[in-house]
Amino acid sequence: MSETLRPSTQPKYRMVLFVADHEPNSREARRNIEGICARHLFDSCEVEVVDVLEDYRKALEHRVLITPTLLVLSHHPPVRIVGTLADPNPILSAMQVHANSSST
Amino acid sequence: MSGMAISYDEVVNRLREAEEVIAALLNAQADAVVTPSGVHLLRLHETDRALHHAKTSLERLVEERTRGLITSNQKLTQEVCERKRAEAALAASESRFRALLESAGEAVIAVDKLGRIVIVNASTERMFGYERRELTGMLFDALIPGIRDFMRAQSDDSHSPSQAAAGSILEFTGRRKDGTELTVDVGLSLADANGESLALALITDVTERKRAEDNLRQTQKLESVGLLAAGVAHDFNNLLTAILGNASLLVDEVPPRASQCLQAVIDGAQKAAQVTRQLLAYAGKGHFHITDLDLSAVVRENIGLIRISIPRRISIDLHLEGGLPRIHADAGQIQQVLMNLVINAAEAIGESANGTIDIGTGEEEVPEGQAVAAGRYVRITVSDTGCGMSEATKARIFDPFFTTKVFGRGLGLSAVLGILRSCAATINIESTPGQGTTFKLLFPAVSPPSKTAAVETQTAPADRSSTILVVDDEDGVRAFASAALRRAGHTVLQASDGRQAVNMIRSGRTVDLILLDVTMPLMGGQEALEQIRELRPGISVVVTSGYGSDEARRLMASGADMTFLQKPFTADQLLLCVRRTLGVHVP
Repeated sequence: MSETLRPSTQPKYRMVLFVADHEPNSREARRNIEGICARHLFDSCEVEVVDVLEDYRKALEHRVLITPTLLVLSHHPPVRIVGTLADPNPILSAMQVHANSSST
Repeated sequence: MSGMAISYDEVVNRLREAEEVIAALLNAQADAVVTPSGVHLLRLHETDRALHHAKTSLERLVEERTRGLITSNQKLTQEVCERKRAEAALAASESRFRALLESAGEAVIAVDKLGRIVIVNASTERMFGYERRELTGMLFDALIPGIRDFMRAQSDDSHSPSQAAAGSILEFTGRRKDGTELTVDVGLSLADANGESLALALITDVTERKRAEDNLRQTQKLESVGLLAAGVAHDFNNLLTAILGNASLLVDEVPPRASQCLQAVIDGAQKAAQVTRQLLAYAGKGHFHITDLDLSAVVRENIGLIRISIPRRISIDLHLEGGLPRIHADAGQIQQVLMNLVINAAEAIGESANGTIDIGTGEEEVPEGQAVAAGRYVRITVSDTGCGMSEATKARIFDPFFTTKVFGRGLGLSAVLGILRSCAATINIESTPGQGTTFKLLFPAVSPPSKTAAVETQTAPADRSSTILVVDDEDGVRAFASAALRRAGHTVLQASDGRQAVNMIRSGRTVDLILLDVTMPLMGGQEALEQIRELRPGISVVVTSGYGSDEARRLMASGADMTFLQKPFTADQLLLCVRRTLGVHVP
């Protein structure tokens, strides 16, 4: 089962975050993506969270090998970022948003 | 997907993705691996964190423990330091105590409840002749027999000395390892060592002091007996002068039968005079004439007299060395010494047995550290093959009036000792019961050997009539002397004390010679002589005394122009002396 972090307005960026239940790295990745969304993307994003322990086929479909992995779907081809997402820059560059400009 | 064509970009993309996956795995940023067969949780992060946590807590623990260890280590170091300091102080105090104990002149002994020795010092080893390892554990009684009984008797507790005994110093007889005895002063006290009660004994060896005290006591005893003897001899000599003198005056004037009786009186008086001479010799106050003598010569001169004094069956061997150094002594006294020793030797050999008396002379060098002062001595030994003496007899033979003989007077060896004392000579006796006795006498040698003393001439100048003043408080002596002098043709004046004599001279009476007694009431001979010399400086004086000449000269202070006549004397001896004195002083 997956959940979706939905913004109030129409999302501009769509992402899927594959996690493994509440494993520490997965938990940290969720916290980090929420932070990035709030700080840099002004909630104009939609993040679908997929727990691989519940639905690992979706992960296989997207060729996700380990959790946590973030798929940025709004980019074509989709960008795949592995890890706890502690550094926001790879995500922002994939969305072509600059940290400096976005914060303004 | 198989058989599907993949673009180059796709390959590059996938490789980059694979790189990221590997990086995430390596960085522990992954927590699950998705495979077609399922999801595998890695839990790497958790393990790592747990590991990290464990490591952190371990490090903290180690740090805490280390800190604790450092603190306790410092504390321990400090404690070790303090303990070392305390131990060093204790060791220093112990070594000080040990040094004090070891350097003490007294023997210090600690005894436990069983009476066994637990502590001794170096003086204990020296005093008793044991080694320390022998002493430790030994019974205190083995060193000082009877001390445990004493301690027991003094106290309820068989071990401890009572308060009365503790602190006081008592005399005991100790026993050395070699069996010899020593006199010790023992001071007892109680000590408590780590809860164990010890008796502490402080022991001083007083053997030498006791010996010195005994010697002093003996010397004092001899001196007081000597004084008594001299006094008795003096009084007897006065009485004997009257007896002997008057008898010698009468002997030619009575019928033969009475004359025989008188001769017996004279003989008896002369024997009595010999006894008083020995008394005076013992007291060191005899009449003697000190010259330089050759001991070998004196023995040779007297050997005839010696031979007839002892039984014929006893042979005499002489071993006399020639060329001996001279000694300072009176020949008559040496004769007396010799006679006494030889007669004693003969009596030791006994009535029935044959035996030998050996008389030897020689020179002897005494080194430092002996009982006798170091120096050159002339030796005379008298040895016999007689019965010998026990230690008890040996210890008493010089005591006046001590004798082992049935008819002995006990004065012979006392007189010998007195004579030797006046010559600064020493005597040593070696005796074994049943084997014999050797008396060895050492006389200080006079150096260099002096010329033979001039032989005194016995020839008197011819008689001439003179006026003689006889001064004596003894009526018997005065009467006899006056009678003897008158019979020889002299004019005689009499005075019974010094004052009377002085008055007679002062009154202008002509007097050629004064016969003056020393000890008189009212005015003694000394004072009288001084006053008479002032009145008549050149007057001839014959001093008579029941004491010896030295004693008389001492009493008379100025010994210069005096002739001495020892009491008792016969008429002939008196006349000879008067003639010689007048011959010297009257031209």
